[in-house]
Amino acid sequence: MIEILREYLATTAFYNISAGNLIMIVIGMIFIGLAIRKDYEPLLLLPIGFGAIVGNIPAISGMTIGVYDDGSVLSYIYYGVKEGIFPPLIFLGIGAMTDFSSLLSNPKLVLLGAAAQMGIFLTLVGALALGFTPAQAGAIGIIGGADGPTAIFLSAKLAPELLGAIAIAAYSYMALVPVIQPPIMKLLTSRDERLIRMKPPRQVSQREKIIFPIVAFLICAFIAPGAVTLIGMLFFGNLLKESCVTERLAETARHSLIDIVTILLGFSVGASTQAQTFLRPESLLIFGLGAASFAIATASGLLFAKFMNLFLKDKINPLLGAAGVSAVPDSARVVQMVGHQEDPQNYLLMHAMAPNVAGVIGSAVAAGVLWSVLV
Amino acid sequence: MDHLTLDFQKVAEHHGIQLSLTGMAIVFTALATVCIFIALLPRFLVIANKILPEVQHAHSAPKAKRPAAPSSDADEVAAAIAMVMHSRSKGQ
Repeated sequence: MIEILREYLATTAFYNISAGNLIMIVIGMIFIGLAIRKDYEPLLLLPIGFGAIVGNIPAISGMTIGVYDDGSVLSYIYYGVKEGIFPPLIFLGIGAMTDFSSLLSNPKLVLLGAAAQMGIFLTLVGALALGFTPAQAGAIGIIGGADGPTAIFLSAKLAPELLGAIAIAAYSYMALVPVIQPPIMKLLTSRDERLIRMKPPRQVSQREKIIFPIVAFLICAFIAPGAVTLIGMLFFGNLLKESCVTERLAETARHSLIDIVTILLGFSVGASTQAQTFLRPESLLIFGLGAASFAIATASGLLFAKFMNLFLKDKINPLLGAAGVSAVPDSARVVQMVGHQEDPQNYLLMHAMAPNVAGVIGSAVAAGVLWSVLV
Repeated sequence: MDHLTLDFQKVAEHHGIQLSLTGMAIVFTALATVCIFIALLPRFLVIANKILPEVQHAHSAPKAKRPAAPSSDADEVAAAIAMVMHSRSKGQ
């Protein structure tokens, strides 16, 4: 009986846990705390945090329990992440809840979304300089797209060994957008520029809203076929919404489906952050590069808006450039907040949604390009 | 693998600058094309709407207006008081 008890004790987490596992469990608790107390991206940080706790309970040798053990329940859930199934489904839900009217009423703001993707490519250069392989550098660079599903999708394809660190860096910095962006916005714009008021947007017809997702998908897919999955699901979801004949499908996509996938994705990404794969010097570098990518993306959008103003009669408020960072709708809200501080009567939120959603398209196109070139 | 030093030789080795510039150019081209399409769309629709007018679909029919709620006694009293006060102020 003593022998049986001894054998059993050797399988418990008390016997097998490492310092790294304990650190990751604490990190998981911190994520849960940030989600609940500070309301930092709770829909993602809470599942990720709890998943990190679950994933760092040491697995019993010979039993398929962990996320990396073939045939375990966690591995089946993680399959949706590993094979890039969950991110397109999330994009379906995002498309079904996105209103592209602000984009359609002022198309030049699309270019601000494009400019902000500079963060992706400059971070890629930085990652290469730090010794990461091209595939890893591409996966790290996509953090600058500020798009969680896109970051997970591309890391699963290019650098699955870095997926945990990249996902957590991406979602952490998305939650910190209200902290990261304002100083950069104030540094790169003058008070007069921040006071610029935008012309009220024009009314957009239903027909425009129906034609847009179909043609925009064709344009992006023809130019960057690697983006077909993400862009296709985004615009498919949008068409479900705007067609007005599939409201129950759109309703499912933007509520039940996206919630189910978010739960499974967040939890399994968290569970994949086992100490052996996550607690490495590369993870710290990824976090550093992630912060740089957000800063560069914000600065690129702002500076491009100022550049556009050299040629425009109706000036753009350059703060809108910061909304090209596709953390929807947080970066648009930050633009509204910073603009509001200068002029309480200046309502920029609606205008900021245009580069915000354009940034989602831009980051998906960038991911498609990187995937097709670096795979 | 030593990740703590910046080595731009590795960037050149993997054509990092060319990759970044090409990637940015492709993203810009895609979004600029979308921008041009959006700008031209209203003009195209002016012609398209003449050939194929927009149809109010049953799914998107406007919701029937609710009948106005009957005013409560309090509203009637307030209206009466306002009328009296207005009459008095005119009389003064």
